[in-house]
Amino acid sequence: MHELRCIWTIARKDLLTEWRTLDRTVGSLVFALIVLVVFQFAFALGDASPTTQEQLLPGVLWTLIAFMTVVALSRSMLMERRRDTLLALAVSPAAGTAVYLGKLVAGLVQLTVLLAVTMPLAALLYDYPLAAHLGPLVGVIALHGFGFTVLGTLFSGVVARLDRGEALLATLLFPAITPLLLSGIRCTGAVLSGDALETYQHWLLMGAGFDMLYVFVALATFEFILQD
Amino acid sequence: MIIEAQGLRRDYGSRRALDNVGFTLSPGHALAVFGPNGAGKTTLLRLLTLALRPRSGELRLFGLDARKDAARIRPRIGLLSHQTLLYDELTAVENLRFFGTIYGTRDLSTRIPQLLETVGLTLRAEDPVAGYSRGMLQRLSIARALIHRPDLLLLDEPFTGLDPAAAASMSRLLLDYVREGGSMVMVGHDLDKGKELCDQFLFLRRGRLDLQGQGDDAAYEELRRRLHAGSPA
Amino acid sequence: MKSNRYVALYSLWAVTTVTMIYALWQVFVLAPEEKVMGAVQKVFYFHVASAMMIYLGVFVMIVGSIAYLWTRRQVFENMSRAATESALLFATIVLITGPIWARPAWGTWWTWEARLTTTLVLWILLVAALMVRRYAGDDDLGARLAAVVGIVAGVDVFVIRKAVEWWRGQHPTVFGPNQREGLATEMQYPFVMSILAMLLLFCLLVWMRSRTLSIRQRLAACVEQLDERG
Repeated sequence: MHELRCIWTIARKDLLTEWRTLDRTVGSLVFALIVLVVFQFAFALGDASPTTQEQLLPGVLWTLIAFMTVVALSRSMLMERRRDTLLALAVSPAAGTAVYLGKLVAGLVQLTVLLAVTMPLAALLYDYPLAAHLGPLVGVIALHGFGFTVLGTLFSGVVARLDRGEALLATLLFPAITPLLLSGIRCTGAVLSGDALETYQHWLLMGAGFDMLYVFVALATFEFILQD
Repeated sequence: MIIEAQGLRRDYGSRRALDNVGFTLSPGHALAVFGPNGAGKTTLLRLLTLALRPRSGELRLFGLDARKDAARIRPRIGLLSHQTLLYDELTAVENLRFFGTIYGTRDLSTRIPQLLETVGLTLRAEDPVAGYSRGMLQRLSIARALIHRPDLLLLDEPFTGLDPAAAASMSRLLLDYVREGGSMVMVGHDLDKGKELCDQFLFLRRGRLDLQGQGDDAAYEELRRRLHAGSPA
Repeated sequence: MKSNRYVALYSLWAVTTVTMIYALWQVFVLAPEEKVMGAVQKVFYFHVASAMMIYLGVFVMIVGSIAYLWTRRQVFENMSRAATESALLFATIVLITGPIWARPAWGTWWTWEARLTTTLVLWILLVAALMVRRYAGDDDLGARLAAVVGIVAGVDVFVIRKAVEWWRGQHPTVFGPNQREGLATEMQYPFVMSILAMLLLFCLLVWMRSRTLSIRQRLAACVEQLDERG
């Protein structure tokens, strides 16, 4: 189907461009490293007792994930502004939904790559056995990271049409993802402490609901962002 | 009939950008749209790309209603702007493949080399576009605009920033396009280029149609007179 | 007709002023002092009323945004923008009156309990939404971008509220399932009056702001036309 091919083509184009500018990805990873070091200075996480680590680590991880999301997404739409290619996409037969989904897929892949490196790095630096809870942890990160990317892609579309205001992406995204941030932290904390699923499943349901709601809102409104 | 426009109106807030504009374009013809800045030329072009919708009025492209059949119209339109509309990090081939796929063009493996040959970019085809000169970028933009064999080419001040050699090269390509049966609408300030490439013209002033004519000398004289006269009586 | 609109607007202004003065009198003169916290507790009336107006403003913002995207009529965009700004104003009032009440009541200027935290997050979100509006310009594109952000942010407001409530407990709920402290009967009438006064204020602000925006847009259009005539 043409729409599926458009989504795939757009995602592929974004990822190919990322691959050609890999030095920027390396820059993002260095930024992540800096953040981890700063958190160590701030909270002495690497030297803390396991209980303190369990308390603080979820917050630290999710702050890092939020930063990584902004870093991964701010380039995605801005690349379309340089030579007005966003206009070229708007007049093409590719539907607004296809452009959005293509960019969403590319953003998810990029975030996954970034997190696949930074999460183990965090576990290493803070000497915390994250691998013991790998399965549920990946699930929680995937569910909430998906929501971050859904909203982030939508907002980066808005920001890409503005004359200035690249900084607006973070300002818009952080308050907007508060529910997911809270849910992510709670669920991660519960997973790391080995709590039963029933204690935090309402958070997971909220996270899933949020994800679905905003995919729907994004698909419904993205066309309006592309139009002239 | 390629374009049938009637009573087109477009507002921006309380500002009337286009007011009761109407014209037609037959296949194989080229229309130049002139006017001072803010006259509504770009708005009219955006309406034709379907990226914009008129507040009121009728617009039919290829006999199809612009509002209802946008999906069937879009694959038949090509756009050439003063911006290159290309991805800097991709090569010429990758850019053409991307847009060709988006537009659903089937025979890309033969069409891409063919187009690159026509615009004279075969040698640099595998280099990232970021390293291209302005003239080369514009030639690739034409290739991009034509990849899907559009029936209508829309041009937004395409000669901006081109040196005479590059401009001549582009004129040649555009004339070939029209000669082979394509139709064209070109928006710009350059009267000479308009006269060279197009056989009809429109002159817009403050969103309204001020003058319309065939591309003969007498009509262009009148146009020049109006342009230099400043505000009308 | 224009003259009717003036009459209606001035009537609303008059009614709002009278109601506000009456409510202030009710609250600060007539209402009994709360036995533990004293006079400072009276801030509560307007604090809670303002909080309600935030959500009303957000609701109007969502409706106005959807209506604008549907009809592209400027009046909805102006209404939505006015509602967003008013919501921000009332959020500011809540964030200022909150600490004024919290300090004598709980001994601390700020507490991260659910509703104050929610209001703080909402405040930031509304500021971000208005920044988009500011950067976006006054044309159709700007209005559309603002409308999209309005819908996303507006719906989010209700989810944020729920999430923060789950995250923490402890806000003295006067009405609702956790009714630990009821409202004394003598306090109920001033409370209702303060809500009414704030509601009228909200309507007045949104209406006046919408009109100001509309007049400014028409003025800009006139100026542009005159400009073109040379």
